[in-house]
Amino acid sequence: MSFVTFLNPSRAGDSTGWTPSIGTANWTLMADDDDATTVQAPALNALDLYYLSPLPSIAYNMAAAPGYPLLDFWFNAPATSQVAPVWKLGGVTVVGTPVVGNGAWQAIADHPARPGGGAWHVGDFSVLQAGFKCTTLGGGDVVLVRKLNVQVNYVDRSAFAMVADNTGMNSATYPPRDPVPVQLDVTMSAANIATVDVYGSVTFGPITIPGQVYPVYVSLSRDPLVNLGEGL
Amino acid sequence: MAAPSPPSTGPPLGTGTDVEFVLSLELSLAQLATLDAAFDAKIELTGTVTPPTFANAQRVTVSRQVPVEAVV
Repeated sequence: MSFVTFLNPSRAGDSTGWTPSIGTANWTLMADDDDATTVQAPALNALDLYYLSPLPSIAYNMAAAPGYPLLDFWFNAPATSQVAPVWKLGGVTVVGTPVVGNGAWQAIADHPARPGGGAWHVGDFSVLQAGFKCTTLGGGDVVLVRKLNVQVNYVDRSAFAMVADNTGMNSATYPPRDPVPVQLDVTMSAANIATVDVYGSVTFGPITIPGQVYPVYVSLSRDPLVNLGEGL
Repeated sequence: MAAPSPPSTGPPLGTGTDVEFVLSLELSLAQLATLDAAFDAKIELTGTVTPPTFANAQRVTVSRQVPVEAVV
């Protein structure tokens, strides 16, 4: 069976260039259609990027559905300004086709190509950033965005038919599951950085990864002084 | 299976004593399986984290066991 699900912004991405209408994180303003909770482009080429909520755990592979994933956002701008959808994945940024404002709120649905090329896989969405960029800004124009989400079309295992085999059992042959990379984020303070540079290594952990039996430790060490694991 | 990815880093945040540094690592299914499979499993990621954030190039390792150094 295939499903379409909506992924919403879950935290800030690599760029926060738009100005929130109220004093809070931009990504928290992107969940609803409230015209009073928006972000505004303060300058030409302002870029906002957001990480997304996770796909359901039953997502097994992408559905063969052209047009997905679909990046939706709602913006309001005069005809002298334009806003474009943006993907960022694996350090590569793709800017979609800019849309001209019409003086009212309008919904944009676009599906820029996968950054870096190739086919989308379910693991992409744990590290994908989605957002928008003000590509044209008319003098004195107020350009607003009030909501963003990403639609993903995926299949679970029921998409692969069960058939009776010669033992009387029903079984199905599943294609290989898409690789599901896991992203670990380690935030280092200035003190941590100084420790690494002076003493040669710093370690963070234990870090629990969903689905893993054991937590892991992440270590930075001065090249080539990789001394992790010695004596264990 | 996806090839292991090199470590990637975000830009430093803030300035002076408030500097923070976000290290983003992406592990494949094969790497995750390796970490769960053996007591002393460790994965040295390809590439290094380089200046200007650090004065010296840094290697990044993910391991199942606590390293000999103190844990932050």
